[in-house]
Amino acid sequence: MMNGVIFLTSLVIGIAGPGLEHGIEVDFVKRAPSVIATCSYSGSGPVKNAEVLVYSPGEGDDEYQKGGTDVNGVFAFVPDAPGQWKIVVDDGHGHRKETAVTVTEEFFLSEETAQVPGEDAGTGEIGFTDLPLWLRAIWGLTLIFGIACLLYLLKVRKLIQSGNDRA
Amino acid sequence: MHIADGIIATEVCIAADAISLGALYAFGKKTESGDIPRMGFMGAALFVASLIHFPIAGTSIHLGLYGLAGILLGIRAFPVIFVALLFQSLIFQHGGLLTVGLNAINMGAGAMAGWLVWKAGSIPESIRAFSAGFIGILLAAFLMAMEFQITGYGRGAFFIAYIYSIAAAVEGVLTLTIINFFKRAKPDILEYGK
Repeated sequence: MMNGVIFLTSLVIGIAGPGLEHGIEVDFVKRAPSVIATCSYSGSGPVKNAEVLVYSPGEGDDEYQKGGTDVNGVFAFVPDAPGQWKIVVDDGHGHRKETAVTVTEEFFLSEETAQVPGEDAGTGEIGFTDLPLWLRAIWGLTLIFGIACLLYLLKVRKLIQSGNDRA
Repeated sequence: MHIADGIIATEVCIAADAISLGALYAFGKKTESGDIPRMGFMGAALFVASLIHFPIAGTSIHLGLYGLAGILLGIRAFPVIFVALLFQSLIFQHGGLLTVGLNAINMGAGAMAGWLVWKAGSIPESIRAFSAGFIGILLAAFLMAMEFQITGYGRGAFFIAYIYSIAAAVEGVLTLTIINFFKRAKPDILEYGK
């Protein structure tokens, strides 16, 4: 049993390696007057010809721009106000990413270029998802094994207790 | 394969979540203590399997191991898939949180189909192993494509069927390889699902 499970988990973890996340990632380059976004399946190439919806700050569900990525997974838009702009990327195969980029007042005054990763839509805070993938994978595995151990201990304790009751 | 939030109507997702929780209870109750370590290890393997992905036809697909889960766990595959999907959603943002139930139904159905194929004793074992892995992915993809078709989302069921048939072939070969290993290393592990 142990040989089997060690083989199986080693095989999966070994092939997976770090940095091979499957979801969509969006990175932004701010170059006044445009914001350029590059969409990729992390470690697996660009998100080609995906639908992109852009929502301006405070405009709710009204789209500011509707477009698509090119073959390199790139699209751009020209913001007209400072604030947090929501971006939704959908490849039409079930992969969808909702992210945000903050445009500051200074953006409209300068021609500087700044590269920033996508933010959590709505909060703009750096969270758990910004941790390296390998760390999150270990975290998840620890949780799964922890839950299994806890359930096993509870079951075994119940069995021991019922055995003692019978004795 | 993992449907993200915002694609399928919220009401449908909530209904699927409720059905999934019912199935979680039905397939998880009376789990014996001896099954739990096996379920834990399979859950860990499923959890990281989605990190193995490859680009195809302008999109990205990944391993699932649903057929293998069906072979090794039988009906207990469903609770394991549900938990693995929940953690994939929370930790990798792989699939939506509201769609966990819907994804679990799709992939759990794949695992159950794989299990049924594995139990068909009259067919040679290697063919059953390959078919279980193959069908495990293909049925899950088929259900997902049907859901997209019904809701009018995406680029068509035929395209999804095409890309996932390639993934299913890869998964079939992988399942066969793993089953052959278990046959040599620990054959009794394969008796569980039968």
